[in-house]
Amino acid sequence: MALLSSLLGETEEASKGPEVAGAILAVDIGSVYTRAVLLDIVDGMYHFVARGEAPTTATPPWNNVLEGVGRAVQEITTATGRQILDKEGELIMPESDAFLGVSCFVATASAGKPVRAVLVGLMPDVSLSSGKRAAESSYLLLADTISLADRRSPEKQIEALLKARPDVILIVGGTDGGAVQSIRKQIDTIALACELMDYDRRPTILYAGNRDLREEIGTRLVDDVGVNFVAADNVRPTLESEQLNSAQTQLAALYHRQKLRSGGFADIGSWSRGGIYPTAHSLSRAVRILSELDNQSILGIDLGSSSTTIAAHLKGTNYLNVMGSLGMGHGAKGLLASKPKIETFTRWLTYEPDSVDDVLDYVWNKWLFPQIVPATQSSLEMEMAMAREIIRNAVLSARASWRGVRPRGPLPAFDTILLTGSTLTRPPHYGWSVLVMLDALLPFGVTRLVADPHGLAAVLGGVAPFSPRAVVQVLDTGAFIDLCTVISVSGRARQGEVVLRGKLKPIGAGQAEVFEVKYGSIVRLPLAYGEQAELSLQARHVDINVGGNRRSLKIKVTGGEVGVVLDARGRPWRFPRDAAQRHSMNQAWQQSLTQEELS
Amino acid sequence: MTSAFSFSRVTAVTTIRRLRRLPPTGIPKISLSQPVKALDVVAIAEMPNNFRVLKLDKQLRTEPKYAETFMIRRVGDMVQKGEVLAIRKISLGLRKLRVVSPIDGRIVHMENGQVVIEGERQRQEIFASVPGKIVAMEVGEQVTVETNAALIQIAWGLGGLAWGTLKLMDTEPGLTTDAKRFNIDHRGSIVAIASPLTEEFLKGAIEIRVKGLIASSMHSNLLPLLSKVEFPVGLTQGFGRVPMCERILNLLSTYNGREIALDMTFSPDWRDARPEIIIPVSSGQSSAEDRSGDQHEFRVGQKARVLQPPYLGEIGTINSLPDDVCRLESGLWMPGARMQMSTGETIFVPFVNLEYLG
Repeated sequence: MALLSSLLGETEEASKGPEVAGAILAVDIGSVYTRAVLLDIVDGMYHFVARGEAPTTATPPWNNVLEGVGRAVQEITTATGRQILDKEGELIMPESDAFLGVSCFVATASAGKPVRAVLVGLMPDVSLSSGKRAAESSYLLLADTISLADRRSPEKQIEALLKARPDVILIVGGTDGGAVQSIRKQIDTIALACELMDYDRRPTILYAGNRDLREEIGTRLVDDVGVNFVAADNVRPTLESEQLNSAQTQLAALYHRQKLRSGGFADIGSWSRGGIYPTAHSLSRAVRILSELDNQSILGIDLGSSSTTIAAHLKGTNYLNVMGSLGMGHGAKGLLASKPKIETFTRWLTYEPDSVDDVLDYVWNKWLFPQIVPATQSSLEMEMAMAREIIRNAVLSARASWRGVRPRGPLPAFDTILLTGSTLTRPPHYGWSVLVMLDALLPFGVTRLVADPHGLAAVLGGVAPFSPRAVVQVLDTGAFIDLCTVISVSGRARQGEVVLRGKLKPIGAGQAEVFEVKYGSIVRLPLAYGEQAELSLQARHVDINVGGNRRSLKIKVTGGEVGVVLDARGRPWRFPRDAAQRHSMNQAWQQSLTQEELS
Repeated sequence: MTSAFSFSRVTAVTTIRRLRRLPPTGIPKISLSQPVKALDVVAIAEMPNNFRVLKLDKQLRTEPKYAETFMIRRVGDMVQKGEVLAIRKISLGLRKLRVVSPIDGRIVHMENGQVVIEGERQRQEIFASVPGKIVAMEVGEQVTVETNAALIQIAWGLGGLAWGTLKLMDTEPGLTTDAKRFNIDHRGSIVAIASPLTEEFLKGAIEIRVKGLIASSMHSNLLPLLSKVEFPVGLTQGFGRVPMCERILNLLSTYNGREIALDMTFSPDWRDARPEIIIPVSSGQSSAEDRSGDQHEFRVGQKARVLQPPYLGEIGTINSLPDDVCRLESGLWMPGARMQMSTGETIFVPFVNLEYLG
């Protein structure tokens, strides 16, 4: 426990106070679903006990998230008999007995209006790009950006600031101990713009620039202009280094403050010791905990309705990127922002759409009605095509901030990929989740795919500051669903040529299965959930391993919902131009992963 | 769980209240209980615009802290272009340095050697959008208009407000409406068709100069063309090629030839409001619009809008609410309702693909 507490290194108010010892209720308010989760001590260990789910009620006619939270919590009460809310809808806390109240309440949210922000910095490629990455850690809408490259006059910049109506102005720029004049000039513009705003509508200023100016700017903006001033560590202390954590934490706190003004959030915030945290921030914390506990590199992907979050822990560093306008529902329009070719979507289908318009119409209707699920096989394929493209774009954008990783090219080796969001975690068959991830990310080597169907990752990230013990124990008792271990090959060979020969031998009883895998195919090896086996592989013409011997592999694997998967399509691979050939390839991959029973 | 994920209204007569949110500087221009027409201005707001920052200290060649002492005009003063704002005598009083206003405007700020002049403010008018009476107003916040009307909340809209006579061109739902049927009677009216909007039809509407256009659906590839259109356009069903649902068509038929309001001010980044067709009705029984958000659980016998193809936007009646989840063709297992459609067919629709009609 000391290990976890120290690795968390939390300094927030939330973590202060005694560790919680009792039932924990956590809610996550998403754009479409509000989920409630109850964690409780059973036989001396924390377990995930029950969950409830209801439509989010942030929009008209409700305009109050409390209603959705109440319904989700009621589902837990129905399932467990534990009364959590009183007749007035107030949380019963502290816990009186095993059937009345809870000891701790945690809230995360991604629903509602994003925080409007203006980013002010010096150099577009230096401080501003770090500022953008800090801003990407929360649900921010960047209404404008001002930098030294901005050709607008100070007057026009003032007008732009007034028009942007920001909730927060994030100021970055200057290395610690570096030049100060340019920042001072920008502060002049910001101060003037704030003076011209109504007093009660002035934005919060978050300063994460040159440390030497922090006090001077704070004094000036607070004393002379009367704005709320918050300081964070410089996002770019030197030209070569970047530190986003402090600014990201402050943005999360600002998000909490902003949320309190929306319907029902104030009540929810008052129940929680730590306020309302952005879901993305909590997911990132969960990814970091998992990485440190298992000493692994982990990629967390939350494919939401409004936004897509990429939380990565790579080579000991945590990265968090929220694509605020890219999602499966409210953010579906973001997918069309770059005017993608229609083939981007149709290449994943097993049929030729009646017209190309059908494809774009599908995306637009998802934006209009974000909650809808695919009812037909053809719409399911469209949905999954959208998911692939959103994830591909989101990861491509996120990896620009991953140190030591080329912006394009093969995905760096992640030991585990954690999937969250209902499209990925509640498909008709978990084979769909695996196929979408393989197609979107093209991982190479050995990767474990894990799904989070109950939305526990964000919840555990929120719970961690109050009860590290609960996090570790819930993770130990099976919070997530193991989808499969996948082994992907790189290189090229002739279609249909045997490139892998191997043996899967269950540990303990059971016959070893010998198999061959042809280039261009995906093969699902039967291994029951939780069962362990020894997998040996010999590769021909293709590489199988990231380091060491590239042509052979011997590892211990554990069966998941989809068994063990071998992706022998090579890296990189291209679709054939012939539509019929492409359709039959897609059909074969779908069938091999989504057949109902293990063969 | 039988709770609705989305909610809209398609109703013959109801009492509706519409909030018109005002910018911070918005001042109501009406009084309580005052009757208003749809295009009456209920409030005006003056938006800050065209600022000029003058560096007094530089122009007067002095320290910022002394600059203000040379000003002959003060904060709040109106000034004209070319008017002298500050004078400093130099060279033993033999020469004068002057600072003049570069624009007509008002001095809004003076500090640290800088003067800010704000030019003429941009005037923004806020319309009533529906005919009715003012029932509440708050400076800088909102104005509330109440009216009795038939209300049709639709899937999508673009282009703001319109008020005009409804001219329905179709009598039954279909997949085509001939653009050649436009005639001079359609000029200045709000035209509705029960079929998908096509490029040819849209060009016809532009040529004849309609005030607004209502169609069942359209392909999204028409969007670039729509962005250049100067009148509001609304879709009752959504994107694609689907005919108008009978219930909406019947309502439009009932009120064909009447004055209607088309409010297509669809929020681009947040769903504060649905685009809607409002048809004021002076007589008849009306029920108060339910905006409380209480319950909204699906019930047997209730009408609901289907949001999945091939019934996109169709309104059906809930026949039964199975206790168990059912399997969709896509393979998903979902809780939902059995719906009786206007074709007589009964289909299972998951709750997430149904819209609650209040």
